[in-house]
Amino acid sequence: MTAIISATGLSKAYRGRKALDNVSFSVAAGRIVGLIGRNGAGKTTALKAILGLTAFQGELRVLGKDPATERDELMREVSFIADTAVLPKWLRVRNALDYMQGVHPNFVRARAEEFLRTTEIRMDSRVRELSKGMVTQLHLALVLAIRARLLVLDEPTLGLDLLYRRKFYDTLLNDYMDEERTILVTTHQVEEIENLLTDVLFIEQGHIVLDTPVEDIGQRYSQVLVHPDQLAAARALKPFHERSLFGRTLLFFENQPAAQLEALGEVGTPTIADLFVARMQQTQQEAA
Amino acid sequence: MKVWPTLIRRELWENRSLWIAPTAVAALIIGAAALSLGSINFNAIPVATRAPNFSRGMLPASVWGIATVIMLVGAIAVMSYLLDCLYAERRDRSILFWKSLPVSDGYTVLAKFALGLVIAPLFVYLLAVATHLVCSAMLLLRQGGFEFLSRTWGNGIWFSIQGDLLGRLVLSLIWYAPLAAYLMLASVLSRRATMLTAVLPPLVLALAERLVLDTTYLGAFLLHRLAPAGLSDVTEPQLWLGLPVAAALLFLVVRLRRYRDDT
Repeated sequence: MTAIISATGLSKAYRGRKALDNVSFSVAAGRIVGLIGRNGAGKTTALKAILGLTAFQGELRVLGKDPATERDELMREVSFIADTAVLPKWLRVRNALDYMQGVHPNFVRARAEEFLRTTEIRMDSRVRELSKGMVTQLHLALVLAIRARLLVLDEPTLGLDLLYRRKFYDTLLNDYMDEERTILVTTHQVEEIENLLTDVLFIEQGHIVLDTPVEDIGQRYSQVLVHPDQLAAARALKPFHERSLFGRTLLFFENQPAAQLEALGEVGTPTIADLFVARMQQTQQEAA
Repeated sequence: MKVWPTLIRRELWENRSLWIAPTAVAALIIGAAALSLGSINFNAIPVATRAPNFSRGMLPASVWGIATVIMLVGAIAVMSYLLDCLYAERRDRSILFWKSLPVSDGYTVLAKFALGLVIAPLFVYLLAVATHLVCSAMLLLRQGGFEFLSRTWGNGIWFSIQGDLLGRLVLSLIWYAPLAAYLMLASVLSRRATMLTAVLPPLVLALAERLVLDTTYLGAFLLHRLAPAGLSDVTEPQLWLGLPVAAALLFLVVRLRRYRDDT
């Protein structure tokens, strides 16, 4: 298993405030990793460090290269969509393809054109004439046509309607992803990409608070839907989080044998969104 | 893969005024010439009443006159381009797109500098030459002024005037290289008004010198660098000393663009 990204002791402070505090993680090839955190948790800072867009302390290798010193070579094999609307308004679709073809050694123009034909985007339109959803489609078309090994997405669907968001991720899975490609994605809308992710990294106040493959979540965490009359018994097993749901209570447990929990109610695997909320509240309680 | 031509084309897509403004002025000159040539008939001026150097003086005057107007507009377009080129990409956040591609900061900055200081001025020069040719051709057609033209164009004088103009242009590009690099520095540093970022620091420094030391060396030096001084003398050391200064400023610009959108 080769590490596409490996970070060791990554730190970054902005005017004394620590955006990343001694963070270590690694991302393996062929994975779709969700970097999940609240606003200001350090997501974008981590991505910027990976993309060589910010100075940092610590050890960081991306595709075996140092993003601080080998950025230009690195960007041949890394593609990046920052949150929507970074394509300049004056750019024509045709010229965007011309530009990519001119500067990017791994850009396959025919592939971008093929994808654009499935959309309503016309070649002679300018970005300013396109809707927000179409701009994202255009950006996706450019990125899909790059033979890149790592794709970094920072809130790629922010502000898009449901239809475009769904299409975006469908295209990503069907037309982009294969065993040699890796995606690192940050988003607020965890629910939407739950089924897509193979790994999650929760980040809070500059720290990684959870780093796990999605398939391991079921073994490690469980949720039980408990009737009020069994609530006291369930709480005795020390859930790390609970929330009420239609008159019953959903309790979350870590490393609790399933047999014990089944006696209390309906057992299931928590969603990533629930796990995220639980984790965040836990961190806040610990801090308090 | 044609990286340099692509980078230059990209600049021209965004900054169309670089070629549209001087071209529009050239078109205006041609239009004005077309109107006025109809009313003046040089051949009708009796040879005896012409000043001895009338026709000899006409040619350089027309070449320099046309070139001055077009180049002035070109210079304004270039200056506003250089001031804007590293600020606009941060204002519209497109820097995140440009930086997602394997184009180094060095390439980006050099392409912008080369367009502003070399390519655009040479285009403007060629435009001035073409405009003069068109005006001359109109004179020929309108007036059948072959006799007039052959006298003024004789002995390759037209070429020597244009060559002289080109030489002056090249010297002034060398002279103004540090200014061009400085404008880019203001552009990469500016957070809001690029013009203020460029003008305020030297102005404040010059005033401070006047107030604190009661001397005006800085102000005088800056005015000297802004004025087209030292353009006629190739042996002027300041002309050449400007080049390493421009290189140092460009190096600084490249370093600054690297983490510039990082807030």
